[in-house]
Amino acid sequence: MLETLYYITIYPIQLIIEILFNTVYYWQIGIGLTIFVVSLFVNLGSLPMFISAYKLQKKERDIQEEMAPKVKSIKANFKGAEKFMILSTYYRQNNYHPIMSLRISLSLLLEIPFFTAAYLFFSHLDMLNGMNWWIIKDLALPDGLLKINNVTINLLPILMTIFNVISCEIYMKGFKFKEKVQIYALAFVFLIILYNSPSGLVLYWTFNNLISLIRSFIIKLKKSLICLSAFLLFIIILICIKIPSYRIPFLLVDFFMLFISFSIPVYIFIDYIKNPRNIVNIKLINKLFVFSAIILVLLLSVVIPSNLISSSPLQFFNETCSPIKLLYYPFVQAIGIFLFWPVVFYYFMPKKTKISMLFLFQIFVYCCIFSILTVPDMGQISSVFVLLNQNFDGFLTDLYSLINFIGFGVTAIIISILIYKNKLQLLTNLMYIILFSIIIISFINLFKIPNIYKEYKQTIISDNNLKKQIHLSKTNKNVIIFLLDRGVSYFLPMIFNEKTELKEIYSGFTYFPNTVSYYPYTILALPSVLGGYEYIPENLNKRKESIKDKTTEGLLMLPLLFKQNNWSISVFDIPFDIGVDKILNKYEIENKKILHKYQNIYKKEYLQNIDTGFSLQKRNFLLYSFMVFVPAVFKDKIYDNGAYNALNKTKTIDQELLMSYSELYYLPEITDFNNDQNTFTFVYNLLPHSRGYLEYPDYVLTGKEVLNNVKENKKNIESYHLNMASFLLLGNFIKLLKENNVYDNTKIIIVSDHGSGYVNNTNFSSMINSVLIPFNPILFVKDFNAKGEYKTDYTFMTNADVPSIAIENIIDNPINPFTNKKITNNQKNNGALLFVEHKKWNIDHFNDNKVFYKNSYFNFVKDNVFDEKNWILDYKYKEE
Amino acid sequence: MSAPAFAYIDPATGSMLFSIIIGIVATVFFLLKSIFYKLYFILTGYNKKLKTNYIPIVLYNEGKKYDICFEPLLDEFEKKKTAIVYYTSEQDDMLLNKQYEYVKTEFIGYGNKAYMKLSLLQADICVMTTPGLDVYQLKRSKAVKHYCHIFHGIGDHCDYRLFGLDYYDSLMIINKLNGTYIREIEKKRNLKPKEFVVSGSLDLDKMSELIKSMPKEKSKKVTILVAPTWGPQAIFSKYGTLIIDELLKEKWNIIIRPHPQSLISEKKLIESIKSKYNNNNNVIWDTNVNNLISLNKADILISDFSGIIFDYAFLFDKPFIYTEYDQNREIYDYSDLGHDTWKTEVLKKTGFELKKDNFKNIVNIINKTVNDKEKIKNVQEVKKVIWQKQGQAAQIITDFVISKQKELSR
Repeated sequence: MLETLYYITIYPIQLIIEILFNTVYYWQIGIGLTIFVVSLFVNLGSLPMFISAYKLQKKERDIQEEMAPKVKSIKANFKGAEKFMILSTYYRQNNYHPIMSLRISLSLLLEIPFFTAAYLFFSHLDMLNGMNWWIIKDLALPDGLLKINNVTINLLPILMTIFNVISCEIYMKGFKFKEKVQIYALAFVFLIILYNSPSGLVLYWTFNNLISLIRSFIIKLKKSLICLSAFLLFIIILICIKIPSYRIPFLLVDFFMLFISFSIPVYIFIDYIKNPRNIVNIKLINKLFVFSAIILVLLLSVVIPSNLISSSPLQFFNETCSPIKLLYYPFVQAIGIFLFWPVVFYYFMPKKTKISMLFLFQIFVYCCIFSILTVPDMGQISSVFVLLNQNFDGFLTDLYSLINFIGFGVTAIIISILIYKNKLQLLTNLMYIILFSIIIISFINLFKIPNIYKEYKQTIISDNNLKKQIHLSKTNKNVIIFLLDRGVSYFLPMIFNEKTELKEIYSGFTYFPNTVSYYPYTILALPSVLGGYEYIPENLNKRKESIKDKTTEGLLMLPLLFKQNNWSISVFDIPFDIGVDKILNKYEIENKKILHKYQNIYKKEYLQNIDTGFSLQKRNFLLYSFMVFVPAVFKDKIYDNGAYNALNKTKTIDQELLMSYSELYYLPEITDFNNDQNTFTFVYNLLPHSRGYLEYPDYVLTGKEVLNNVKENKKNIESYHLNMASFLLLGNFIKLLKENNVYDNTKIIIVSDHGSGYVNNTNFSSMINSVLIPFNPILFVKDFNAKGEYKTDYTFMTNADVPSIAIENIIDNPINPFTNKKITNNQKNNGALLFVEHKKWNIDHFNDNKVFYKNSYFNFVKDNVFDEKNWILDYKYKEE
Repeated sequence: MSAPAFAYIDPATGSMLFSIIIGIVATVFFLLKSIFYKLYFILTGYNKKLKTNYIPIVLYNEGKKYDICFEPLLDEFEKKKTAIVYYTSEQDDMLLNKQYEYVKTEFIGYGNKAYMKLSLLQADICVMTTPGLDVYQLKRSKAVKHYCHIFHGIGDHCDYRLFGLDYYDSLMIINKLNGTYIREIEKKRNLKPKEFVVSGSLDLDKMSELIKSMPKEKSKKVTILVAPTWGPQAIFSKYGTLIIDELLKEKWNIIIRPHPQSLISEKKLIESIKSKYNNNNNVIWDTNVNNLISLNKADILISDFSGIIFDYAFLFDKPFIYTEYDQNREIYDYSDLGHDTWKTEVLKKTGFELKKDNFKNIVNIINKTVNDKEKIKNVQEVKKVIWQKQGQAAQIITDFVISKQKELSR
């Protein structure tokens, strides 16, 4: 309850202060001026509301004064219920209601959320630690400017109170002492609360009081508008003097954004100079305004978030919070930002400004819908709303930006015309249509989540013990495939050079650097890893069955082949929910889901009190929606490189990192050697695919991010950490095999489904970096009885070779159990046709029966993939 | 169970769906809109027929003492063959048993039960005597288009407690002067101007009719009627039995007629007075609802500021004696009037003010007043100004109500 209240009343202001601060701070004008400018903008933004509150306060005082004699007489002459009824009637005749007496404390009431927001923001602002300004040594501590003997006095709070008192004197000139007492008492309360607070906060509030002092002074002047402009100009000049010249373009963009954000006050200004317009039905206008605000709340806090969550519900699961509960935060935050405060603001505004606000909100609603309908392809996104494929610069130049700009413009014009022509009833009807649509889509999106979550809780969370899962044989043969999603091949020698002990552990392994995958993403790459060449994109297209069926075949070919030869099969977490489990069940094989199982055990043991992303989800979900909503030019500003304008960088652990890391960490504990059959094991893990840094130098997941002291692209370092951790953890598993003498009778294949598009190797040319690295998977193999330090083999390989490698020397004349075709790797002899164009990452992909169509683009490579000469780019595929 | 997230999220999922849904909803909305309206009209039209509770004209009688106002009205409506409904809060209301063709009568309970029913009333026009509409528990019904107030007795709306008639739409008043007061107060309170019609007085009309059929009783002894009002300024609370004691020194008949409200809220006081004169044959107590019998017998009336003084003066053309009183104006609508009403002047002209130091002299005063030719002449003159439209009240009020209802139902 209290939290809801906080999100609705305080949080919106706090967020605005944070975004303003983040924006202004990067103008690099120094911390003092930054605090001043933030205070100034908050003051200006809330100015119309406070002026109106002041007017209402005065009105209240007047009406109370006017009614006083009669009220006194009624109170003296009537008793009990009659007194109440007569008084109520008297109030009614004067268009007054006792609740209106709150108006007398209105500006005070408004001050409270503004103060609380500033208090919460500045008292938790980590960046102030140790920061000094002018004569203040540390903005995170009280100033302690005056020292007399051993007594330290904080001067700033006293200065603040002086400003406050002077401002009250001007503001309340002519008021009775009784009325002034309230304000002075408040000034005194502020002094007490802030006396020992961080001086950064006191500084903000001092500026705040100074600005309101100047403000009340200016308002009393005759030509207040001119004076106000002069004052603002002075501030701008002050900023421009301080600002480094290369920052000025940023400043201009920010000013433009601020102008947009503060457009309501600007509207008021325009209203003053504009001719009065005919206002027909203010009641309908009020209704439509509130309606638009509600719709906006629903669009931003239900439609966009539920679209995202429902596209991959599991990603947003977390043992303490269901995705539905997660939606609570954007919802209450949106109510605060787009409903509560706008309505409060609206209430205080004169009629004409109300219409302007209606214009604005109506335009917002339709632009928001436009944005949702034309949402750009932003690629993949993590559970804390970080885009893995950050490419917002493209927005400013490409077609999307243009369509977006035109769309917003046209929407704004149409809506303005409709309002101008008084088509309010039509607009209200449209609102109903949108409301019903929102309800339907929300139901569709949200309906499936609780069931999935319930199942998830039952199967995964309740049973988090370290039961043995992998059963290997001491006497017979074992084949194990570890699939590391997005493992980066070229890191391997670097990893072994840094951790030389790994060389001894991974004895008998062969590294194949000259390897490609046929596709850079799991969805089309994995089928060929487990199914061989019959399941590369080119061959998938030749068969008419649905991609769903063909993919399922590919994923199951190898396990079923081993099954046919009476091997004991264990497969873990084969991805895609497209019927794989059903087919496996027919052969009495279970696709065991263990990837999620160990995170809680690991957390309990090593990561007590460490946030695994929840606080970021809480803060950023609405901002993500907002980013989807705003015009293309502003997206980058809101997104802020994934920080969403947060000043305190919250340290959290990525969910995917936690679960993948913990699975590999506990691998030795869940393995036994009691099997008396030949065994085939497949383990799918996402560790290299996840996000976050580990603790250097041991690359352990502790929640502390300690980076290696190297000059490298951060993405590279992150990916390196994750690949390194994968090999270190798998090393522990190999050690276990050796200790139990099951190493020689075990064939191990460590392979990734594809490379990574987010890293680059400075030793490679830019062309190789861009065309090879996403298609360059890890292929690291140890055959039975292989010994000695790991070798490097430059034979041209693809990861579709994996089935052949797995069955080599085990199954003679291997036949695909689905197609009855012989399993070979002859196809790569002529090189490999790598598919580049396909972009369907979502579930729609499976419903088609073709992967690509005529004239789709491919890259072709053969022999040495590191040699640019061996590549043919943008090869147009001619279908037979 | 779905596979673990492979983390390829396409934020565009759902956009397509959303656009399709908006399309469908919009189509359905516009397709169904006309059907919806048709349905709405059918339903609401049907509802109108179902509105059996709707009544064009309602009269509401709050209690027994107002019977005298309503009987002439019901008779007049009957005469004009206008169908009306008469609600009463008086269980043994004799009008309930009177045979009417056009008037439907109903006892609706009293207090909150009656107010509840009235606040849900559906009517064009509702006629009442009850002050404090929409101020006290009795609220205006949203489904009643017009509330009409009829006065009881000779008075004006300044005599009602604060805001008493502010939420009526029309007032039937006794004389034009009252109309000017109404406008003054409306202006002061920023109220919408009410309609008012000078209709005279229903109860005085009725009473004068009744008097005609009454026997001219003439007792040998002088008969004094003491009829005070109630409250701290009334005779008994203020002076106790001082006046009665003086009067008893003469061998006169004394009729004591306490205000009905005294019998409820000043029970102890009345009981003690009663027991004091228990054995005195010259003291007669009158608690009859109808005051006419006592008025008819009386040679002179002694009162304070009760409305009975005008009944007495105007019906019998006789002067009266009234005790001085300090009316607390603040309680009444008076307080928003910047001046005195006609009452002050009329009292002085037609009655004799009895001050406390004159109590010893009361016998002389009575003898003098009874035969005061000038006062009697004054009564006759004042009566013409104050009690206008004599004998026409029922006619005027029913005419107004009927034409108003027609106008409203249009």
